[in-house]
Amino acid sequence: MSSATEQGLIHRVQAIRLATDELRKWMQSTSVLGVSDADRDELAASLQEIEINLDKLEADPSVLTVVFLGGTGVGKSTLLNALAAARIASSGVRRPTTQFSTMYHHADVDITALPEPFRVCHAAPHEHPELRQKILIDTPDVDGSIPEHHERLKEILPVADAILYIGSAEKYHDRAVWQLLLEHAPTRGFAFVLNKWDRCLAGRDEKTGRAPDEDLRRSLHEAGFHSPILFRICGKQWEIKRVDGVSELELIPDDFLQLVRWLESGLDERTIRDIKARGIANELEKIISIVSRIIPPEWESKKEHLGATWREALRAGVTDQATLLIDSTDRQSNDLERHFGRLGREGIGGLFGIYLHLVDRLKHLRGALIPMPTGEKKKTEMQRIAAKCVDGIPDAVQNIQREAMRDRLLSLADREGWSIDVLSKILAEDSRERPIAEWNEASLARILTTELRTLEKDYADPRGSKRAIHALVRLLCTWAPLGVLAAIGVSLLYSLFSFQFWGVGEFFSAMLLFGITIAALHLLLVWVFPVKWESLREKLRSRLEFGLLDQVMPRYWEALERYTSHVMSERKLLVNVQSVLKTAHDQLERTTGNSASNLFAEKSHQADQPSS
Amino acid sequence: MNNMSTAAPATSVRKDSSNQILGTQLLADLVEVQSYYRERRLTGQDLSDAELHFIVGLVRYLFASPDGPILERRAHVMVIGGAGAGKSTTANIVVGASIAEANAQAGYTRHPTAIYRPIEGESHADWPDHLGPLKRLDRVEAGNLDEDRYDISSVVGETLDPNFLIHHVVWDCPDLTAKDASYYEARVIEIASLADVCLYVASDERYNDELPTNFLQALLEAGKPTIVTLTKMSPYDAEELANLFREQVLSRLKNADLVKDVYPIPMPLQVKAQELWTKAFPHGNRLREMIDQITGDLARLRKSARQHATQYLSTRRGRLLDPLAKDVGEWRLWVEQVRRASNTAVQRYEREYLSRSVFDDFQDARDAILAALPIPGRYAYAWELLEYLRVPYRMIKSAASKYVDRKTTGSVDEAFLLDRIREQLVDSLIVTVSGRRSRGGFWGELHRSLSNPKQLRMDAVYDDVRTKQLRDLRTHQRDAYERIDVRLNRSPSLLWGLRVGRLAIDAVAIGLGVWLGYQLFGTSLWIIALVLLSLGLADDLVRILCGEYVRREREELITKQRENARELFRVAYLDEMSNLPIGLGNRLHRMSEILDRIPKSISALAERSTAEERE
Repeated sequence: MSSATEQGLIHRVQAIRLATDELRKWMQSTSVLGVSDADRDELAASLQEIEINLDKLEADPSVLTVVFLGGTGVGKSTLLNALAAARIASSGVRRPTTQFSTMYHHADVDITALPEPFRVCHAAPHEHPELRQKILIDTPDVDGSIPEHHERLKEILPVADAILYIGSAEKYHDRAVWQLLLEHAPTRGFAFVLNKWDRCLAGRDEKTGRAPDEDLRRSLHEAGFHSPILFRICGKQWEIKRVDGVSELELIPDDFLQLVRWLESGLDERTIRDIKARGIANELEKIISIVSRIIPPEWESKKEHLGATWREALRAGVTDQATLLIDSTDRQSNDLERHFGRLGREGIGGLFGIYLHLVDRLKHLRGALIPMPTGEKKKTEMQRIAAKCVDGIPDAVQNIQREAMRDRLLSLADREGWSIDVLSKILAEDSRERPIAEWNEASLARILTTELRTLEKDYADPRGSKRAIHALVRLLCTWAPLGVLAAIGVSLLYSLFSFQFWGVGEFFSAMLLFGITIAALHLLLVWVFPVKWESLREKLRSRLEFGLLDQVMPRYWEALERYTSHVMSERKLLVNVQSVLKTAHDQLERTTGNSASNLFAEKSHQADQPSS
Repeated sequence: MNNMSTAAPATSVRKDSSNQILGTQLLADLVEVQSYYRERRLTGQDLSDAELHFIVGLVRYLFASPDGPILERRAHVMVIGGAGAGKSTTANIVVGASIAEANAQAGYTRHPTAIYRPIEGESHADWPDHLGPLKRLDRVEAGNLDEDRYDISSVVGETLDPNFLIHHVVWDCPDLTAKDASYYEARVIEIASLADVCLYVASDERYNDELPTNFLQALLEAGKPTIVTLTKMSPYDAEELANLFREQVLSRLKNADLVKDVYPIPMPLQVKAQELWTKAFPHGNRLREMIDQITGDLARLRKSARQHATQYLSTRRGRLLDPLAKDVGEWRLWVEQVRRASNTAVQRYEREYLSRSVFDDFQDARDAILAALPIPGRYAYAWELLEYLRVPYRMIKSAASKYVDRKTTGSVDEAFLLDRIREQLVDSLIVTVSGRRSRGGFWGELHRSLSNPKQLRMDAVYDDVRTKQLRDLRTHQRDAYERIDVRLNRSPSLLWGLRVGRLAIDAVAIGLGVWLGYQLFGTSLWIIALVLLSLGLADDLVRILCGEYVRREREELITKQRENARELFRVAYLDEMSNLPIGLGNRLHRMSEILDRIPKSISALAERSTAEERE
């Protein structure tokens, strides 16, 4: 092979190797893409084949490996013996005969440098200069009753650059062998031998049916070989002549000598190179098509979309959770009302303060036996109440809610083509690392406490205008009753001094006035410091919703981010590999000639239609 | 065999009525399984299409046999082998004339041809219209059109042994190994299951090929007596080849005793294949003699065939049913999942709605009863007085109850809750199914069905059932309400009885109060307080009694609602989802019955045939 073309091929080999190594590494890592098993297997097989091809190319780029393929008894070993003019392969009546492959190679070829499958062959070196660049391999069968033979054949087939398909008068397109032909036709060159030509000739005068060679040509045409190289041979006679040395044998006319000529000079440097290049190019095509199938779409936009969908679902779920918490607080509403009532009362002294205290006592008769918490206990009062609330929620209900939330999110993701397995794994990992984010009792209690405290603060210690109003009201409540009382006292004194004692009516109306003031002030107080739980809980509910959403949304968003980054990195790798392989393929195509075109099947062919 | 008359052959015992019923059922089941496997492409791994077809054929011809003298009274001899081995030549040798088309094209013959000599009155019309999937071809045409059919070739002229073809039918069949054989091997297998004797043809090239040997093994295991003919070798190699065959092939086969002979038919040089069936060679006579020996007692032959066949079926049963069992198993798993999910849904409904629901209607009913109790008319003012007396008690009681009563949680909107529960049910199932997708095709298909909401009927069915249920419930509720009302109004004696009863209770209360007060406090104002208390208590008592009565109706309604919920989820979800994946679920439902039935049928047939053998 000329050094320029040799260099070109080798250079490409390296680029291809790098890309396929990347691909192999990717296949061994865990992927989030959800590649089907069928695709994986196909890819692995193709990668293996191309590796062998590249190895061979590096070991000895000029050598062409031709592997014999055929059913048991068609005459492969006989043919090899005839070609070699020596009994290097065993042939005989017993079926199947050949158990191991025999490799017929020139002594100069360094077989130790060749890849693995070559080494299990029985080596038969020779010194014929015409066959210097070719290795011929005789193989076991694929359709006999010993399964180990089939295995061995399948192991040696990947090393073939070209396959010599051998059929006999009886077995020229049997199922088992034909399947192998169809399997390897896309990536290897084929030449064909119809053996036992004497038997074909014997049946020549039949009235019906096609002759075997014509039938074979037809089947090959269907399979995409439109001008196949076909030799019709009677191998036995040549074995007898060349190996056993019976030189005066009368020979039936056949194509044996043409076969020899083709092997020796027909397969020249150019053709060999083209065969190899074509084979690699076709294999690359296979890989490229699989990779194109696997590449995922742009994921960023999918992430945005799912994020929006999830936000909606989370909002709904959070509303449920908030309702659950609110319902639980209802059971403690007495305690809460009392607490808030007390907060409202703070800062109000005087008569009104005493009045309020009394009312409070009355209202919470049952709780009167329980002393009001003071000082330190006041701070943890909220926490205690919150814990009690959350405790009251049955575990089953909590679990159901949590699971329902999770299932909703996952099923939404599934609908948009995300892999649920991967997502739930990512979510589970997160919850292990940061258990705070998990929705359990403790965190619910915490959220409830926080919000109650905020509510409390808002109540007792507000900002801005509210503060002023509160102060004003407090002032009013403290002093107004006194003021009214003072006014009544003054008017009483005045009446005393004018000797107009008050009658029952006046006394009554004075009391009424006092009562009305107290009532009015109480109403004002209740208006500014609403104590009824019904009004407080609505505020609490909306706070809870926000709080829960804030806590929960980031975690899920992060899971989406992680997933997306995995997908994007794999995508990048695959797109890269695809482009490298495509470039190599295009370059190979451009530089490959046509000298080997009739050895290859036409590419876009569906080869499993029946012949009529 | 030369002294056999040309009279009609004796009737065979192919048919046996009790067997036939079993056999027909088994055949129908197996054919269903076959079409299921074909549609779902389940063959090819452990069980091949060929094996399945063979089993179906065996059942068809041995146990559920079709009618017809041709099948019953004649012995059928089938000639098979690999492509180009020399089947048609061998068939001609057996027939004793050049009937079958022998040529070198591998895969030329694509249809089985029956060769026979019709007796007086017999014609093509006596042959069955169908042999399984094979249609009878009534016109003689070129031998390789591509339908599923069988040809008939009647021999009327001279042959070497005319009687042979009266008692037998010789089938020339397509090969097993050419590249397109997968299209027509079903036709070969159909005849193989029908045949009484097989002629296995192997050439020196093919005698140890995997595919034909496997076929031979299947024939032997199914109980078909076989004669092996070896062809194409030179006369010098004949004996060696026969020995090689016995050593390499026969020794490894089960039931090898059913191979009656290994008969070489060598091809001497300068001899054409057409000469082999002439008188010049003894092969025809020898083969016919051997076949006659086997088919002499046809009834016995077929009895023995049945026994072997049931054994074959029993050993193959597992492999046969495994793919179906797997699918049915997955389907059953799925149905279980759905059942569990809908149980959870019903439980949730109970817990979050039923246990909390308040039936305002029934408060009204109770109040209605109470309103009907006082005596109307002139005595109404007495009632008014009593009512006034009860006011302080009521006030105190309501004030106290406000402090004591826990606030109950608010009521839930039923429809909203049900929608959430349904959503959760479907979500959890989608997540489960998606997680199982790696386990195989069934779950993948299920996932596809579930992800396609337009095709799912659950919502439609749910709406239907729910509307109906709500309507019924409302009627039921109204009826219950009316029942209470009507019961009171319809029966004045009851009403008056209750009224008098009420009055009596009040009277007793007052009396008790006075007496107790006198006992405790003597004559003082406290008596009045006690009387008020007892009046109030009496009132409470009556209220409770009415409430209890009304509660019973309410409970009934709650039970009805619970049942409704169960029915709702069962019909809209369990039943509908059992039919998923779309097109497959309900089929698997049927197939699960077949899965249970087939093993029973096979054992029953096995028992019968052993009993038969003993007779």
